[in-house]
Amino acid sequence: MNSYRLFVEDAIQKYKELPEEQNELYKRKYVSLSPEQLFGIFQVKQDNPDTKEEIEALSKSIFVDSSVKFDAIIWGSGHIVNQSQKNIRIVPVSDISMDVLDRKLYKSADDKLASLVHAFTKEIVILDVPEGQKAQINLLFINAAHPLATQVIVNTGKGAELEVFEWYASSSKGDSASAVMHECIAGEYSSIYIDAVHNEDYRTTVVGLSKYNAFNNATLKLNYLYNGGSHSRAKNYFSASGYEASIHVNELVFGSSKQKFDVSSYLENSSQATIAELHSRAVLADQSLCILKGFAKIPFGSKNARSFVYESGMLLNKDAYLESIPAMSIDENEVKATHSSATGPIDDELIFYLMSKGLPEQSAKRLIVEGFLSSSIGKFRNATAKLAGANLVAEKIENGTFGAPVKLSAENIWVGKENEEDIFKGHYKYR
Amino acid sequence: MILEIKDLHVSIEGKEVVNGINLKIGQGEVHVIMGHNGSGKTTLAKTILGYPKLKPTSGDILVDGQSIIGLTTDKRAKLGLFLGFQNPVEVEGVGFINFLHSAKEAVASTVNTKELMADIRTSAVNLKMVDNLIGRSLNQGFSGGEKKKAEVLQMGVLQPKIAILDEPDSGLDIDAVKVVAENINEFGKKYNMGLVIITHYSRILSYMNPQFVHVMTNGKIVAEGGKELIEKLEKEGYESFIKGN
Repeated sequence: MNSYRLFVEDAIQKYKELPEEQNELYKRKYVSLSPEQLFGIFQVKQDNPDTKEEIEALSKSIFVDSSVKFDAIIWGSGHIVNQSQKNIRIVPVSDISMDVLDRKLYKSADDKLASLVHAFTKEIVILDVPEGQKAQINLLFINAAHPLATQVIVNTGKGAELEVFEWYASSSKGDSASAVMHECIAGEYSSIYIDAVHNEDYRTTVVGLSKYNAFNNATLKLNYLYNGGSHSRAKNYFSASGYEASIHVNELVFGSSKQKFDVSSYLENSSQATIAELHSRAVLADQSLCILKGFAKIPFGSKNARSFVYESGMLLNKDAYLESIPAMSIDENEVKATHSSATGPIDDELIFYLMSKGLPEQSAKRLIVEGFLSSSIGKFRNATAKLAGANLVAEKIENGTFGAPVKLSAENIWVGKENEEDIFKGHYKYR
Repeated sequence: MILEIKDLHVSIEGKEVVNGINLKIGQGEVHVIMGHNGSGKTTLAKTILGYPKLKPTSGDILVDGQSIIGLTTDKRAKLGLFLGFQNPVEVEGVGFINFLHSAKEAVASTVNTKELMADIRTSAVNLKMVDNLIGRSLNQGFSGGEKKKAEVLQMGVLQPKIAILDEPDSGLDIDAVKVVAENINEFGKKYNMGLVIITHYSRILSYMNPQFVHVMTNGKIVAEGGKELIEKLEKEGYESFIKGN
């Protein structure tokens, strides 16, 4: 216990040295995460923890008129696991030795926030898919009476396939936080697909920290929708470390009101013939703000690596702000690498085109925004994630709201070729 | 419906690009506007539909005797005007069918989805469009020719009273020009549309039967007549019309 207290104090001290806290851009745009605020949230005396029954009831109200069977529900003071799901284990931090915890700490200067999150982690979720097996896992993370801090460790054996759907929800009574770290290793020839949808409420500060590693011939496909939370910070590190490993990341930020997002992705082609691809896009309404960073690195020796960083943004209001920062560091000659960044309001030519066919201006704008968003949502692998994501963004476009229960209905969604896989290929809801 | 353009002047950044155009187009009529590059044809077409960056400095655009200059673009479309674009824009993520459904709903107020789908499928077959084209995002990844066919398909679905088609033949191969022309003719007859074909070339017109031909240079109509004018243009080019003015 004593060593754990020291561990927490050490983490807090490290956090205070976080470079972002000194960054002028962050200060100017108020995207610094105040340590005092975050510590305050986690350290406040937490009485009346949520009961299992309350959380179960809450999980059933995540979606309107529908429900999703979650294999595990993790909240600030407990968890529920579907016992028939053999690929999940949830272990208390106290069961893990300090040595192991310390090894899992993110060591680089940029990762001090991770150590803070780690310090407040009570339980660790472990997803294991043994060699040659397949698994599909639905996870629900909730910050309700207590803030949530947890870590998800994912391992796939050789040739295994894992599909994970993660939903982040809140039912906070006051200022709260949802902090989830991922440490993920895709074994040789294995595939990991993660679709993560953030729909936390406006009282929640969201911290997401991830490290992904793809071994030889492994595939990682990651789709993120950042829709909820008052202030979100996500830092994701992706390393294609094995020969012919491939990583495809698709990030979508949709901000409204005064939401703030700071989403950074770091990709590295650490081995030969690897692919690392990042598509980041942001749609910002009202006075929302986003700093979107995509950094790709190809070190010397990673011959025939391919790396792509695409960032694009759409500003729906003159008060919305997007700082889009793509960057590449390439030390190897025999590679293919491109990056691009484009941000602006809705193109007048598009509006005129649609209006000339009869659509009123607001409908035309809405269709364009939905199209821009659906290009990202359409890449989600999980059908529930697609539908829920589409309904979430529709709700935000319609009412500017987030963090509330959302419809999970395909009603009025054009299904293209009546094939579920094609559900969003160029199609969206009728308006 | 009668579309009437009366002594229309349009300027861009102080330069007059449409310089006193007069035109009268009725339903069931086929008009052709020909002219060299930069003669103001596209500007005229976009002005009729209310392109916000093109404000008439004088003159008027009337539909059935009522000025439409104060109307927004969508309201002009709802009156029954249609513009087939020279360079249709690509709208990412917006399904072609979804867009057509929304547009049809906007101009016709009610839509029977099954009938709409049947119309789209039939038109796509008639236009010899690539099978999966209509399942894709609006104009995204379409070839130049496919974009033009898609504009004609939209015209057939939306059934305007007067359709202005800006260079429906550019980017099309020889066979496709014939297919597009035949479909324009068919839609025109079926729905009693007034058609305004803007083009540089006479090939597409050899498959059509225009009653009115207008030649534009420097923002003005400098010659008007019937099909014989097309033959004259073929022989003499635009140069003689430019010199004459």
